[in-house]
Amino acid sequence: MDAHAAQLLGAGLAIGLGAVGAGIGIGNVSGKAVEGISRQPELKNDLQQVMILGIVFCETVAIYALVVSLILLFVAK
Amino acid sequence: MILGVARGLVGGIAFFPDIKAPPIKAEPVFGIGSLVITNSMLGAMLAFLITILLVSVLTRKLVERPGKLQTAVEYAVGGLYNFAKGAGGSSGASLFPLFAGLFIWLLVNNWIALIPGFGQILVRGPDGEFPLFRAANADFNNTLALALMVFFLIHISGVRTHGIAYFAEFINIPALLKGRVIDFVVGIFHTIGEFAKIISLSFRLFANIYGGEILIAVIVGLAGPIAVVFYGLEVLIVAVIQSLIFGLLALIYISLVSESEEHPGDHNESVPSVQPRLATDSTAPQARPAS
Repeated sequence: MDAHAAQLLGAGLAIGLGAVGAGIGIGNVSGKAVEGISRQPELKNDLQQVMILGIVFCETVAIYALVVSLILLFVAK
Repeated sequence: MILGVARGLVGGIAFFPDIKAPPIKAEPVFGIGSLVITNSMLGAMLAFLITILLVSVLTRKLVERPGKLQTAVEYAVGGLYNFAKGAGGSSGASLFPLFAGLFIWLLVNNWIALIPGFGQILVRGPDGEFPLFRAANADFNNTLALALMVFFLIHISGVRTHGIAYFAEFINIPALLKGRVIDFVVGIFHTIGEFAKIISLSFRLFANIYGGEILIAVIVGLAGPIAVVFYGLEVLIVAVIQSLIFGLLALIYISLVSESEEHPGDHNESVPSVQPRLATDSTAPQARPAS
């Protein structure tokens, strides 16, 4: 395997495996938020705000993975 | 027939035009002395001009009985104000200008970058053609500058509220003098966490916007018209949510450090208002599963 192939493979693996964790996290957060909203619909606005924050923090991990794979694709020589 | 359509689709997909993703570095357009103006800075300036123009036009004729336009603007700004007040606790209202300023400017920035043709104005440089404008947030320098600004604002407002004792949260000399080493180590971890805020704030915005540009470029190359779906996703979700999140996180970080101990937050106030609702809900206790 030459260096370029390894680079492409690494980029794909980085974002792919990184997205797994973030996806699980986002699913957990929004699932629990839906549970909470269906239990207490009058708290919908508060719960939504907390949910968005939680989703964003989960997503950050995927973003780090995306940055790594972008660096592998475009910057690393 | 379905087979024919499928074959046509595959044929369409198999046709790869060269995918033009924007380079990760912004290209310099011109320089004034040693100051280099890149195309992302021009994009940021354009967004700045549009924001100023928008604000000055929308607030020029404010009347006591608002018309349709003024009502709409007041509704939007009022919604943002209530959002900031709800998220920021006791200091939410005073941080509203920062929050709304960041949000509106970032939103204009993200939206003008998605107007078709924005990145297609090409100019000829020494090494080939490059676009005259570039989404400011697709350049890491811009988001890093914003994140650094928020970082310093956090700590300046922390010092303003707690005085010099604020730094004891990070370099906990009093705890060390009393022999509580663990508290000192926790303070060091706090310090590292503070610097992680810069990284996460700047990379989140940069990678979302830059990743979105690459995504659209790749999908246009792969599947042509199907890119409209992703385009809508970028415009409606990524652009809005990321601008909102940047402003919201700045607001929350600053309001967390500028909460003084005299009134320990609005969190306790909201508990009694929740309690009666719980009581009314308990008429159907079997509806609530044990969690």
